[in-house]
Parts: sequence; C-alpha cells; structure tokens
Amino acid sequence: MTSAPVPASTPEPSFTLSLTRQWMVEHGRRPINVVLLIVVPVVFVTLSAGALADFADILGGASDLGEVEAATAGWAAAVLAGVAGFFHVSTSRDADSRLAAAGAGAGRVVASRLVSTAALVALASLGALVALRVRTDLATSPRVIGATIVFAVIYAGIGVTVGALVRSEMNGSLIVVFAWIFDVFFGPAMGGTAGFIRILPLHFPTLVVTDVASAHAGPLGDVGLSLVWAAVAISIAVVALTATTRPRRHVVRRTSPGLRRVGAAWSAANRQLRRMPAMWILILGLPVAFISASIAVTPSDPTPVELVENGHRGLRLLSMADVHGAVMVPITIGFLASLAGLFVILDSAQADRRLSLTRFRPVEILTVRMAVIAGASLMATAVSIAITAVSFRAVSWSLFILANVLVALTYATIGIIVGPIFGRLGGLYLLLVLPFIDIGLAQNAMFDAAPPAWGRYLPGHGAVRVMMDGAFTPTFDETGALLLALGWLVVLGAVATTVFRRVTVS
Amino acid sequence: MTTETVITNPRETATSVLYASGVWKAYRRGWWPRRRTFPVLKGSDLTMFPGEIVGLVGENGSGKSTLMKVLVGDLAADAGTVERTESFGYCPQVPVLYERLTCDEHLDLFGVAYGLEAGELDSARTSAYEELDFARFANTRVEELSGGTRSKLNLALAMLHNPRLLCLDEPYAGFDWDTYQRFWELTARRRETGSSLLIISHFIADEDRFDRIYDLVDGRTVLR
Repeated sequence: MTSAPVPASTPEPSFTLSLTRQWMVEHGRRPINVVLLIVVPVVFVTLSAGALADFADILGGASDLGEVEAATAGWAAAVLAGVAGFFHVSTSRDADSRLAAAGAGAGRVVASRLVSTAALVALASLGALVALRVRTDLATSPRVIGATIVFAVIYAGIGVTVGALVRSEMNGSLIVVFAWIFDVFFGPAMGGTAGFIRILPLHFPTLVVTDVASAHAGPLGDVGLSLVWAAVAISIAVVALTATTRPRRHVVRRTSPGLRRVGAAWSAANRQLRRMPAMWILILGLPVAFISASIAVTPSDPTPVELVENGHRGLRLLSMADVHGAVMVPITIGFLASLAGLFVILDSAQADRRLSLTRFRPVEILTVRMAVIAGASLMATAVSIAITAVSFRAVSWSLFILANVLVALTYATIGIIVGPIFGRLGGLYLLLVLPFIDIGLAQNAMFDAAPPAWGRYLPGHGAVRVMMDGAFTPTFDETGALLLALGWLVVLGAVATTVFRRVTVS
Repeated sequence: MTTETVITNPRETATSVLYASGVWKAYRRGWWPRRRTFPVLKGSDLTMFPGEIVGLVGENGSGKSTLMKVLVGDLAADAGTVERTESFGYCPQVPVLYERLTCDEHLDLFGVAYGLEAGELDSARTSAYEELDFARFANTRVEELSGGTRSKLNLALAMLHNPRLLCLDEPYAGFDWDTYQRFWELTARRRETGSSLLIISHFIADEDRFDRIYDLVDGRTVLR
C-alpha cells in the first residue's frame, strides 16, 4: 500500500508547527529579547505613565491619568512587538530563504514565521497588560485588552515588513523605533489631531484605548478603522515576507541600458549624500535650533497680518508666536535647500563631467542630481514642519506643506544656479543672505503686515503667501500667488538645467 | 576660419582610431573691458593607428591638456575636425573622482557607464586592482586615499572597459617607482592586444617607449 505524495506547496500543519517551535526557541535564546519583554513594560507602564500624562497635558492631549495609563500599555506592546517582529525576521531572512529553497516551501516558512510572530504579539501584550495591572485595574477592561493587542499586531506587522525589506539591522530597528516615536508623540493622546496625523497607524487604536470618539472615523468607526489598520499591516507583512523568502528564479533580467545607468548613478549619488555629515547635521539640527528657539522666545502678543479670506483682503490680529512659528519654517527650508543644491552640485560637478564622456547622457546625470537635491530639500522640509508641528497648528496642513515644498524646490534650484557661478565660498555667502532678505525680511509678516512692493519680485513671495493662507485661513484664496510660485520654479528650473549642462557638458 | 566640427564616430575611410586636423582653441578670460583672448591651439593635427603608443610632449602651458580634452570631447574646439573611435578611455591629469565614493563604488559606477555586464565588470575590476596593485583600498573612500592611490583609481577608470583608444594625461604623476614600472608593463600588454595609447609625458627618458612623439610648439603639433 502506498500513500499519495503531498504536494510541496501545501502547508503541512505539523511541519509548520515544528518550525514555529524552532523559531520561538531561537528567539528565546537571545537574552536581550527576554530583557526587553520585562524592561519596556516596566519603564513605560509602571514608572513613566505619570510623567507621560503630564507631558500630554502640556501638549494639549489627554489630561486624565487613567486615559494615558491605558495608552501606555498599548505603546509598550507596540514597541515590543515591532522590535521583536523586526529582529525575528531580519536575523533569519537569508536562512529562511535557503530553507524554503531546500524544499520547505515559502508558504510553510512564512506561515511558521507568522504563527511565531503571533506568539510574540501575545507575549508583548501580556507583558504590557501585566505591568498595567500592577498600577491600575484598567487592565481587566475588555476595551483596553483588545486595543492593546491591536497596538501590538499593527507594530508586529510593521516590524516584520521592515525586517523583510531592510538588510541593515541598525537601520531597520531605527526605522521601527522612529516610526513608533512619531506615532506616540504625534498621536491623539498627546494632542495630535491635525489632518495628516490621522493616517498614523496608532491614531485610531489610541482613541479607542483612551475612550475618546474621534468623530472623523466614518461608518467603520474608530474600532473598525483600528482593525483595518491591523489587517493591512499584517497583509503587507505577509506580502513582503513571502517576496523575500521565495526562492529566486535564475532569470537574468535585462534592464534597459538607460535605466541601468540612471539606477547606478542614483545609487552612487545617494551614497555621496549620506556621506556628507555636515549636511545632515544642518538638516536635522538647524530646524530644531531655529524654529524651536524662535517660537520659545516670541511673546504671544497680537500682531497685524494681511490675509485674504473669501476673496477679501484685510488685516487680522494673530499671535506673534504663531506667526513666527509659521514664518520660520520657509526661512529654514530656503536656507537648507539652497545649501543642498550648492554643495551637491559643487561636490560632483567635475566628476559628473568626466562621467558624461562615457555613455551617460547629460539628462541622465542631471535627473539624478536634481532628484538627490530634491530629496535632501524635502527631508529638510519634513524635519522643519515636524519641529513646528510640536507647538504650531496650521489651519490647513496640506496647503502649508505644499507651500513649503515649493520654497524648498525653488531655493534648491537657486543653489544649483549659484554654485557653479559664484563657487563654494561666494555661493555660501550669497545663500546665507538671499533667503534671509527674501523670506526672512521681505515676506516676513513679523516685520510688516504685508510685504513691501520690492518684496513681490523675490522668488519666495508667491510660496510664502500660499503658506500664510494655509497657516491662518480655512479657505484657499491665493491662486495667483500659487501660480507665481510655480512660475518662479519653472523659470529657475530651466536656468538651473542650463547651468548644469554648461558645467557638465563641453 | 572654419567652424568647429567634432564627430564622435570613427571615419571608415581610414584605419586610424583617432584623427584630428586643424584644431584651434583659445580661452577667453576676464570681463569687459579687461576681456582678453589667449590662443592655445593654432591648427594642431594628430593621427593614431591601432597598436600604437604615441607621446605628446611640450612645455608647461603649451596646450597639451587642452588638446587632449578636445580630442576626447571634454572641450569644444573653436575650429577643426576630430574623428575618434567610440571605444575610448580618458584619464585626466588631475584625478577627477567623487570624494565620498569608495574605489569599488567608482568601478561599479563607471562599469555601468561603459555598458559592462555584471560578469564583465567583476573581471575588469579584478584585473584593474591586480594591474595597479590597489585592491586593499577597494572599500576606502577617495577622500581617505593617498595621492598615488587616487592616481591609480583615476587610471583604472579610464581603462576599465578595455577600450581601443586610451588617452592618458600624465597618468603616472604620483606613482612610486614600482607602480611606474607596472604602468609601462600594462601599456605594453594593451598595445599587444591592438589598443592604442596617447600619453602626455614630460619625461625625456621615456622617449624609447613611444612609437611616435608629437611636440606641441606654438599651438601646433610637430612630429619628432
């Protein structure tokens, strides 16, 4: 009597469970995992819940200690599950792929990883809830238990996805931890209610656990959207894990020569940018120093500002601290973006010229350099806006962000133009002065309610008008200013392209 | 005076890998009213055939590097004709490199730029490291390299794709004696496989290594 052969692709429960057991044993053999399981809940839930509640109160978030205590359990479960999920996958990715290729099949390997990740989610949630039980009896509430598990599931999904896609352990774990920090400190428990913050993974679960109705969840409700987030996070994790575990087919992919060149140049240009520590210190440090300090030292006295509302131009009295907070963003971004343009172009101009003597086309090199400069400028924009968002609330975040992106791209192109013409030192001096005169003086409502006549001819005028409109009025009334800003960008982009071609092509 | 004509495809009517005729070039410096013109090349000619090592010598400021830049297309001539094989490599006088990329990353980038496939690139990289003996700096960034190793990388990038024509502008500046000897060994190997090398040199002692030598005098090339 012979038994029917089992198809290799069919998951075999006993084998999957056996693998799961192996993964859990492997996970437990890393002492740091066990230590984290104890330390994180103790620190977050037992020791620092009171301080976090005070902090949330200062930021205008949940002021009730009980609400924040309940959220701390979810936060602890999320970071534990995220980090555990990340290391669970990243440290064994190549071995998993080899195991799948050896006959275990990607389906079984991925299934076992998911089951063991589910066990880690259970452990993380349990640890957080036990710590919460030590402080309060909230841990017995079905709402708190359910929400805490959802927190852990969402971040386990994020951790597994990052673990599958990011090869470096340091980079991957930092991504998970920074995502979590952003999620917690810009979440509704800390007073974060602005539009774009609602897309953060823990936004709705935090509202559920703190028992606050959002009123913007639609027909699914806060609980429904929390579950959707959990399902999406796990689905993405399954897709990412399957893609990286599945044995590679030995198919030689033919990439078009142009795409291959652009890919290689893009990769090299990014490496160069990453290796400019001074630039990163500026991009990350300057917004903190400029924006935070400016807001902190500015009194909240009223100041008149010219705004357009429903088609009517008029003066409104606004808090000086708010106006300063809003205006410091484009000033900082203009300065940083122009420096990014200047240094990236000057650092690579000669070697780019040599590269253009090979099969590289000037347009390919130009595309890559522009993209890298735009990336650095947008990074400066993101950091500056994030710093401002701590203490300033724009009425329309989307318009505020759009206007600042326009400032970033405009001044990045100015940097590209200035660099080759004036050189490193001359260009640096010019770019210290130009954003200051344009955005810091001419467009700055702190000095004058409306820009002076000569200020209307400067490149930042249109974008800053759009920024002020988004920052302080609910409706969009600055179409002309937006077109002006786009016009500046097109003209400067054309000039930058010409300058770049002159530098890199004979 | 004729208008500038630089053609990047080989002329099929001759067997030459490089043909330049009546090349004129002047630099314009300063702003009005101190705008001045400095003529450098005044009708230079140069021809190279497969398997030749040709020297280009001249005083400082005679225009050797300018002529080479015109020949490789790095600089537009004011007038004249240049025809050249598409398969060429250029090694500039001063190493022109990306300060924050490593040697390996440079070789990868230029390998793609020359259209080498992955296997060809691996082989070319190994060969470049062996020929110039700098494999131990494969993962070192250019900003951390000595002047001599920069020169090696500078040269390696020019010959990575084994071109039919190599244009080298004082390639051994900064080389130690061993590397200098290696350089001439590799030029001999390239020449045996049919490649041609145009080398700007200051050393009279190298005279016997060249098949032909052009002197650049008063903006014109004179065959020695």
